[in-house]
Amino acid sequence: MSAGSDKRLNLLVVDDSAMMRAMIKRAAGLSNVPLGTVYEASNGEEALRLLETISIDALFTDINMPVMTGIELLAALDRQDRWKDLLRVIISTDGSNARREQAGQLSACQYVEKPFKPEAIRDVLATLL
Amino acid sequence: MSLPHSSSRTAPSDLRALLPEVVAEVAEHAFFAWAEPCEPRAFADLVAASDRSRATPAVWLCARVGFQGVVSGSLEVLLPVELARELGVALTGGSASDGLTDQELHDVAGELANMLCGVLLTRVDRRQAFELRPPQVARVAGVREQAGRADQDQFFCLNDRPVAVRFGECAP
Repeated sequence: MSAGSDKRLNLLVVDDSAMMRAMIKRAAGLSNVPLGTVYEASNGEEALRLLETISIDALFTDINMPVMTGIELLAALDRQDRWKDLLRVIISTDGSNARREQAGQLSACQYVEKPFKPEAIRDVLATLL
Repeated sequence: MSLPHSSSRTAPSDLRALLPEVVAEVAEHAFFAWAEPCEPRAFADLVAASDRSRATPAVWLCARVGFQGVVSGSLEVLLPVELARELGVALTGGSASDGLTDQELHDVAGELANMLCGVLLTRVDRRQAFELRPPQVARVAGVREQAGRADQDQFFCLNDRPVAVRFGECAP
């Protein structure tokens, strides 16, 4: 997306906690980045199903979720070439180096530790501008 | 539903020592709230004050998160429903008049326990990954009768409301 474009960013927020999804949406809304639709899913499997029907610019995912974890979701995206340019962001309380290394082996992956300030989401979205 | 009381062995001293700064950080960054440790007596006073302001005793939530990593065990957070409501509003940027469902209140309590656990374990050993189990949240009764008595509990004042945190079965 080029600067000055009127394109709005579509996001997908994946977290099993509805309150955390609301918090991430709020932080994205405070970022001054033009937003389109913010989609939600409560686990990786639901996100994969949703991705068959929508177009997004960035995906934010928790790690620990029932049914399919965030790491499994990102690994599934890595297996499909169509998602190679999608910005993926892990939002997790696990800030350990080992987990970051695991995430680093997946494509286009950024890492935000919980709790985060809204600026952390702004900084991530700004990389798309 | 009530959570079975976890057997409460002493948590590793570094977890207990780190807890106050972690509670303060999570309160501020996630919930735009302030928190500080308080003595058992002050905690009991906050519990009593919270009950005095109501026709019936305050309803409490207990959120438990099991963890496995550099240490393994569980962390429980005990907080009044009214505080969960305040924190939920702060978390999502809603207004105080917004109603939160029981599920959303449970989400808030669970996420508080989840964040405390995650930040603590990251601080204890940043090199090692850990697994957190999904939070279990239940309403609990009898908090006033036990307020400030449990030897293993650590007490906090969060936005002028009482919060207790305890560790269960922490094996190195």
